[in-house]
Amino acid sequence: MNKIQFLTELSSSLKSLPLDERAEILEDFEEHFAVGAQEGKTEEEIAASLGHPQQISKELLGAQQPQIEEVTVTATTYEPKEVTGTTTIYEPKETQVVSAPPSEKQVTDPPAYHHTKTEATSTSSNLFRSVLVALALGFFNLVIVLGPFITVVSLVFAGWVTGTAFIFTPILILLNALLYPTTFELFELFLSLTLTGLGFFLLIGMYHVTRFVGIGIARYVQFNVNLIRGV
Amino acid sequence: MNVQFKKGVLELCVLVLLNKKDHYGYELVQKISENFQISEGSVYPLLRRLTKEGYFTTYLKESIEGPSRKYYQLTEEGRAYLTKLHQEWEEFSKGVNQLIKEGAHNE
Repeated sequence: MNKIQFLTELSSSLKSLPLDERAEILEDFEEHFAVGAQEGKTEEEIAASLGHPQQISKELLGAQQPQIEEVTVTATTYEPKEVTGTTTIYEPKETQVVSAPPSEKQVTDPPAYHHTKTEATSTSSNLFRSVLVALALGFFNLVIVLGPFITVVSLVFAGWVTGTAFIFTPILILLNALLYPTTFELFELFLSLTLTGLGFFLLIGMYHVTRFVGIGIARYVQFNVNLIRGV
Repeated sequence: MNVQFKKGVLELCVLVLLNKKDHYGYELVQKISENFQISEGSVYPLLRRLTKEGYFTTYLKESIEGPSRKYYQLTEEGRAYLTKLHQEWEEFSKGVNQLIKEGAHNE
């Protein structure tokens, strides 16, 4: 893993944090990479000894007070069973956290049990949640997203075909002139040359549109995956 | 248990190092990992947490080579917290050593 990969992964697993906070954290790690590079270490070496970004983000989120409240809240709303499940496991402390908004000390002193809690949450009910989300998403995609999706893809395809066709119109005109010399008109040739020019512009435009649409689709897929994974 | 244990000790180490003088993140990580094996990335969450608790303040300082660095400085609260942790550690390690010593004698 190099620096960019490390920072990207860290950043994406810290999505729930406010932007400025995330930027600050990334700056810290960028500094770490910069100093390490000065000492002659490779990015890969530095990343390896830092450990896994996901582990680090877990620790960072564990230190975040509003984060914990959020986790508790989601746990309660999704699955009431869940909360009782965790309370029985971590009896004395857990009840405090769930019932009352935790004071600074309570939360930050034992960051450890927050981790164990999220892990416990992520195993049983999250699987159930994932399945539900996947089903709902599948339905939503089929009914609402599929139509526009096909439209957009067809439009992009049509754009490419039109652009290519425009470019080749002079060839068609010339071919026509060869086959039926009597019908040839100079006006048509010039018109077709104009179309060629337009075709080039259209293709350049289509290139950008395609990239844009491609990125959009990739993002949407990633969003679906994240939703299912519960990230 | 082992990870938890290390985390607590890590906190103490960072505090002790900063008690001597201000350090930037990389320096702290290096100093600690010279002495025992840690996953270096976990020092930063710790630094953030303790800063939030008001045990450290931070300031940026230009360095001769490369980008400016974020230095951590121990506050009065931090110093008090260090004293408390240090004391706890002394008692803890004394107790463990005592047990080990007794165990060795009995064998």
